[in-house]
Amino acid sequence: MAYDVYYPGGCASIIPDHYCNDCEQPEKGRISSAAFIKDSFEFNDPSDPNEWITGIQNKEIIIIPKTNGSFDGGSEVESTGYGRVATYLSGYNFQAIFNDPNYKLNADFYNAIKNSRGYRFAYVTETLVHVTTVPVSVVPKNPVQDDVTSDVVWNITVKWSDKNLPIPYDVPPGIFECFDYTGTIS
Amino acid sequence: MKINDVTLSINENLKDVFSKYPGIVFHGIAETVLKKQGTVEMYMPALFLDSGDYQYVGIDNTFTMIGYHKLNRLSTSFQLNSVKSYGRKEGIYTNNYSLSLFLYYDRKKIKLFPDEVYLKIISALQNGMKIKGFNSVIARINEVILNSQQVFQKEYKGVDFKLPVEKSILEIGYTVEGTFDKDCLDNCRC
Repeated sequence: MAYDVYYPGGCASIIPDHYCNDCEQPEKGRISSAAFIKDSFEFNDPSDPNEWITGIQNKEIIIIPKTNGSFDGGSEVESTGYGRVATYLSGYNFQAIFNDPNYKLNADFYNAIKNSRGYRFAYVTETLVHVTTVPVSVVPKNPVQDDVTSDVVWNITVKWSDKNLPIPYDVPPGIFECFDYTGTIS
Repeated sequence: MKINDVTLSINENLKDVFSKYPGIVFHGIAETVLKKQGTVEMYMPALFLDSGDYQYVGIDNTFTMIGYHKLNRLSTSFQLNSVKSYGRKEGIYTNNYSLSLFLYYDRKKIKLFPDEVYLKIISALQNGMKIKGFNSVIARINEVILNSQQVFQKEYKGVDFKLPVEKSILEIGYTVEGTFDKDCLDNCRC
């Protein structure tokens, strides 16, 4: 007796072509800028500066233009596999840490955003912006070193979990600059 | 952002330290200028003014104490990947200024030995100066020349007066280390 196919044959996702270029300019490190984006705000194209300007003017995007910091690339989360597969990759726990040198006047900002569960996170490297697809948790700290030449800055840890890695897009020009929230970007 | 701002801040501290003595004056960064009287060449310290003129700031009996600074040397270093650099800046710059503070005083009116004056000056070179344009400023004293005749002959070559024994002139060598972000330089005087 023939059985109808119960399990579809193969569960592999479609693998796109791999890109290579011996002479590609490498992307340099450091989280040099950051942003918090309200979860309700959706990008069609994260490289389009007009979308960012709309978000900033509507106070749905908060830009932190000059930072330093790093992103850990994610700690893998593995779950028990099935069949002859011992484990499978079910996602990642991600952590980005950045420093914000504008200290005194941002205490209220960081005290507020640490309580929010409704913001995604974007970080900028040399020429690329990476935007999380899920909301993040924000853990700000303002440590003080025993060194009279050190600077007191905001040290921010951003954590999130996601199945996929952050995707890089060309950074939108003129967005990650210092400006005030009057609704206009000069 | 100028080293002269640092010397002016030091001068304010010097005025506080020596405030109980009347007739004290402290000037900024002076230069050695050449003055000719006939065939005689005399060197003396003077301030270069915005007008293009020079103002003599050296020994003057109308004052109990006169101080001025001289900038001897400036070197710059760059610290790559400093934790104090943000955005796409690769690091921060540090300027090391080598200066001398020349202090002339009347020992009949300020009854202090030169080494006692020197200790008071050490207290005036406080760290933690907030100078516009500098991320941090650290001043350190390196040495002092207490031999008044030696300092006088160095500063006043060829002059036709001598330093009386009751007058002292010290040269205090000190270093100022200033770190800065080159994108935050204040070039408004340009």
